[in-house]
Amino acid sequence: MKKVLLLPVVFLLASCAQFEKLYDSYMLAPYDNVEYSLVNKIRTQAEITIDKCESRQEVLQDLKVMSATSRELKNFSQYIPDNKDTVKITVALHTMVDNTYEYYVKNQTINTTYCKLKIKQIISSADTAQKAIGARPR
Amino acid sequence: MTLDEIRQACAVYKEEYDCGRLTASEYKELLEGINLAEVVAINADGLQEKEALNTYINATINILSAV
Repeated sequence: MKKVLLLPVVFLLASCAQFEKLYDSYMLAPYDNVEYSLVNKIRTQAEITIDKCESRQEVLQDLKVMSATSRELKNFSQYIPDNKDTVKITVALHTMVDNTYEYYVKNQTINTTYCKLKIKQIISSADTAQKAIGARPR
Repeated sequence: MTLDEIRQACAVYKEEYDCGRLTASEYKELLEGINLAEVVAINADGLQEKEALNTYINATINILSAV
């Protein structure tokens, strides 16, 4: 009860401009095991795929799996309340993975340099997303 | 990918393209990916800031509740 009564006092300490940020921070969706597991799967799969860049076919197969996993993550996070930052992250990550998959589908010849740089881009973004998703309040 | 890493990546992509190790369409696709990496980085920064604030607010509430 005390906590409930003290909440308005905490919020009043902040200026109006900061209120929304404070409110969003206080209401932030808690850590979610499934979201963390899915973003970890994408990162791990990409780390395995980067060593297969010599083979277009193998990378294509891995990207198909990664695209399905990133879609699952995007859909899973979509309707969790107070989760808007994570939703923006998962939508961008899925678009990145899916665009790469589409690029591989449309192009028969792919440079190894492109593959390495693109998969590295996915690994780095998944890593950034994982750090942020993993630090959500318990 | 952090914002600093994004800046470094852009320089690497340009260098690889200039050296002919990337086609124009590959270079373009990589740059489009950078835009998405930037969205991930900006929102991850925002989320981490809110996580820190959440910890601070809860700690403040706990201290005030104990008084």
